[in-house]
Amino acid sequence: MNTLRKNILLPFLFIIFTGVLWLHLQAIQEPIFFYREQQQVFLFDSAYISGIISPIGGVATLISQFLIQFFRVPFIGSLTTALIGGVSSWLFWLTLRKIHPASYLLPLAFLPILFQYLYLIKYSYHYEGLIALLFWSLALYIYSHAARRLNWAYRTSIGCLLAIGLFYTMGSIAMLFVLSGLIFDVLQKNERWYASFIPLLLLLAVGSLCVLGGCKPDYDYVFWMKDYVEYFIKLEPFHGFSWQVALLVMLLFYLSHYSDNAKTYLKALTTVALLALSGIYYTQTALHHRDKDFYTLMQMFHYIDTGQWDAIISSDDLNYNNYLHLNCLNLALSQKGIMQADLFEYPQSGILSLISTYQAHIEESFLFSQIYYHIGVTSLAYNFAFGTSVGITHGSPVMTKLLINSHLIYGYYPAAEKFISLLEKTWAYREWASSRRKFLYNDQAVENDPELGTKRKSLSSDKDLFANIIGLFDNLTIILEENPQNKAALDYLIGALLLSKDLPAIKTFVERFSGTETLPALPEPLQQAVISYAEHDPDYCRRYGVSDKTLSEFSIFKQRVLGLRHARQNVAAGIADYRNTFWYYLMLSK
Amino acid sequence: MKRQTHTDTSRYIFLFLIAFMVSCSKGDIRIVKSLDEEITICPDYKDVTIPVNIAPLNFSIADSGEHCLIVKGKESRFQVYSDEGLFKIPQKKWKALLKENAGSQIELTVAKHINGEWNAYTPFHMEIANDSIDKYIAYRLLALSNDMWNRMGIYQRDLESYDQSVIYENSLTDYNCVNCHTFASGNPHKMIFHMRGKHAGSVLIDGKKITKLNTKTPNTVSNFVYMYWHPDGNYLAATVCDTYQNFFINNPNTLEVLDHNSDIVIYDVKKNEIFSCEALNSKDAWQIFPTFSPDGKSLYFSSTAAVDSVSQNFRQMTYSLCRISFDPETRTFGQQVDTLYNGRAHHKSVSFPRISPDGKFLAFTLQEYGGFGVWHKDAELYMIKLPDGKPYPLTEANSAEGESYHSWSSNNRWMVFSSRRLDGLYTRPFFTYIDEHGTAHKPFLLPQKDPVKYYKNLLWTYNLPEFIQEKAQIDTHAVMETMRNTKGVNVK
Repeated sequence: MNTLRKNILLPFLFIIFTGVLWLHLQAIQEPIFFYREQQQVFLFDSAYISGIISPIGGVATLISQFLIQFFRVPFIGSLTTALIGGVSSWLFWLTLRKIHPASYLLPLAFLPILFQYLYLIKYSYHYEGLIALLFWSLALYIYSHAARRLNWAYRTSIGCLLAIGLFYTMGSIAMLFVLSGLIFDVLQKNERWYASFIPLLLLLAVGSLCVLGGCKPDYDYVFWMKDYVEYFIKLEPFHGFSWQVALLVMLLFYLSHYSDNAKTYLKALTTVALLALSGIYYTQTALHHRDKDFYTLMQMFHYIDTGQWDAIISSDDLNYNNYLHLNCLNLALSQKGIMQADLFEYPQSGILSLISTYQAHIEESFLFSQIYYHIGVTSLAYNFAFGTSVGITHGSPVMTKLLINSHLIYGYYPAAEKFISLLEKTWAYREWASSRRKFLYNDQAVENDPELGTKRKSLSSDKDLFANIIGLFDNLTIILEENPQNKAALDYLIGALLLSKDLPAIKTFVERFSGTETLPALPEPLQQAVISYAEHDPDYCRRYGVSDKTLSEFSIFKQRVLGLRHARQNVAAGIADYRNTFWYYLMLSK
Repeated sequence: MKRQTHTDTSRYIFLFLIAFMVSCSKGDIRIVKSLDEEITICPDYKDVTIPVNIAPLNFSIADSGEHCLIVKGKESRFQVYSDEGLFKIPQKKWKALLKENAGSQIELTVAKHINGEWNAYTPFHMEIANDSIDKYIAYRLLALSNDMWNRMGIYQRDLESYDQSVIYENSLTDYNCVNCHTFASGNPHKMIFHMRGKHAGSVLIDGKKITKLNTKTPNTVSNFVYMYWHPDGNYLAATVCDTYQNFFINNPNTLEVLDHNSDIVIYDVKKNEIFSCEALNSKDAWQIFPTFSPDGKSLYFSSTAAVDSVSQNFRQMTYSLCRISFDPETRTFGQQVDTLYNGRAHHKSVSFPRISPDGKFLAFTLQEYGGFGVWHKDAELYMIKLPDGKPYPLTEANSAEGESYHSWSSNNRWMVFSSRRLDGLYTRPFFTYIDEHGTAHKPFLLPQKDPVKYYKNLLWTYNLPEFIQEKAQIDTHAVMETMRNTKGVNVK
């Protein structure tokens, strides 16, 4: 029975738990896995790899980056993370059962990893923390294995080697290792258990030297969790729970000696209670830490990256009170070619619905660079792309692609070639990068390309204009003057005019462009806007492209509004079926 | 089976030893014929003038076939085989050869192995100057970005080897912006640099003494930027300016850094106070880039008439090269400002004046307009023979891309400068030999073990390369502690 339990039942339980974790991570954290992939450019290049590996904790970074590059593929992020958790918990269990083989406490072996999953909900926690915990459980397993077989001198030597090795390769997790090794020896009453203070003292000395030598800013980086979070995160007690609970679990396994004679049903009850308590705590904490809007934005970024415009438009998670969400939605509408007609099919909230205010957040520059690129304001796209590439510590593949395209549009071929060479060393983007080579030093190829050619043609011939000074409206007007075929710029220009409710500007625009190559026909919302400023001049409206159908619809709408006002009824409620018109937006939107 | 394995292993070891001995005993190759053809090498080190103490100038060719490089001096020669097109020149042989041929030239011949014969490309040469170069340069490395930054630092490079070490990295101070490092006459033990963002302030390092300075005063528009030490080390000239950057819609210069106001102040290090004069602190003119003469009795700077609506009239910002006398004893300036180069008259603009330590030459950057030539593709290096010579371009040093920040070696014979000539985007340090007539020789790129791969991969730009005479030994932990945990000294 014991053999059956040891060889089949327990591994089976681990596999089941790991499977559950996979499903859970997939359901809860998928957007953040995609986002993590977008926050690094991993190169298959010896110099790059040696550059990553050389600092303290570099191996953890290398392994993290290597794995994260595959997170682009759906399900891989959650699967990898679940597997790491499963293996780490299994290794920890192998150590725990040496302390005392209390199988009913097995769920506790998952606790350190569950806390890691809670940390990973936030992007500010580095994947390195999870990798480090995996290697800690491996090191502890090796140590506990050796401690039973070797004398104290060898045991201590191995402890020292593992501590320093872990410190150099994985970072501050070495502190957890020396503490857990010490506890293990104490609980096991190993020969000269106090010798286990030697690895601890050694680590304290090495870590201190690192700080004093300027390798790390302070002791939180070498002995505590700071090594695994963004530098601007202030450590809270919560950040330490993963490590603290590991030590606590070791103690609990030791204390379980005293419950060996307890009834089986009590043990089973304990297991269920542990699972339930862990589950409740985990769920509540996860809900507390998961920022729904941020996750939706990450999901939108993934859709933008992979060109899933319909998925953005149909997403139920979009928060129309969040400008960045609206920016994603309108970008998708424009990409699908339905922005001019369908703009008011969705709740809009002023010109910021197109491009929100820049407040120097990385998500903003990440998104704005792509919007500006789409509409042809290449200089601002380029500037934001550089900013984002730098703001993200390990680079951004999407931004690098954008930089390549921007340089090709401008004809800065040596710079484009540099970034192409870089992406050619990646796993996911090498084919795309190589496909760009045909544009290098070949103006004709660039000009004939539908995407690059349109944008190159959209560049102003005036060399003295600053894109960041003249504002969105003027940028778009300049683009349309240079390239009347730039439909995305037209989308955004019409969108900006309508959303700003600037009727005089709309009048100027319509009179200038209506019937031209730029604007051969007025989209319906724009027709509605023309009526809004020239309702008493139907001839004018017709001359500038307003259809009789729209004129007659306006007449009905006007009657409805006047009727409601006359009856002193709620106008907003009474014209709710006009929600998708410019008239409704003009009257009722703030 | 075991025996068989043992036999196999022995056989492999034997074969390896034979192969090793054969490879070691490769004699001088015999050139059978000349291809009568030039080979392109990268970086372009052909006909460059190099110092006698420079690290090997490894280079690559775009052909991974079997090639051999023959490096020949007056008496000795050695050869190097290519590895995937890269020639890694052995340091010891290189150094001995340069020493032997100082003041002369060496000949480099690339030969290709074709059908069992060695065929030579047309040889090229390198001039070996007798004058050595300062052993170190210091520079900032940072990623290109206009509004965001991340990891960056100030580093130093041993020019006699490939070793780069840290002077200060911003990871110690929450990834703030570190900038404007300035050494006192190339002295690695006396320097100042600035931190922006969190833990902001200027770091004044004098030997073991580290001071945090808060250099913004109620009477100045900003902290100190573009600083320069007085030769006696007691004064520091600095610009205080209100700077913005704008992004062109379509201009090869990409962006423009514009000052909306700038003045020059002198910081008295001992008294911890600043002072200035009307000529350096005028409302009608904007002054920038101060530089003391090596005797400390003159201050050179760039100056332009103040401009309204800068973002529209930026082409009117043409900085002239000016000079004013300075008495360090009395802290007073002369009444007269000399104009060595009139920017407005020439429709050009001067930045970064730098005087050779012997006081004979002044090098500066000249561009179409504006005070910040770093992003100008039209920015070129110019020189004036002091006291009043005519400016002339350093033609051999310039390129189609922008050349900007430059620094003199302590023996007056070398200048390091930034250039974007490799890819039009990232600045790289180049070194040019300046002969006694003030003429620049063809410059060479900072050597690397594998320069093509290194510069191609590197997404950091070299900023403010500056010669220092020895290795800077900064206590980075102490700098961090000072900047994080002290309020700093307010400059008066």
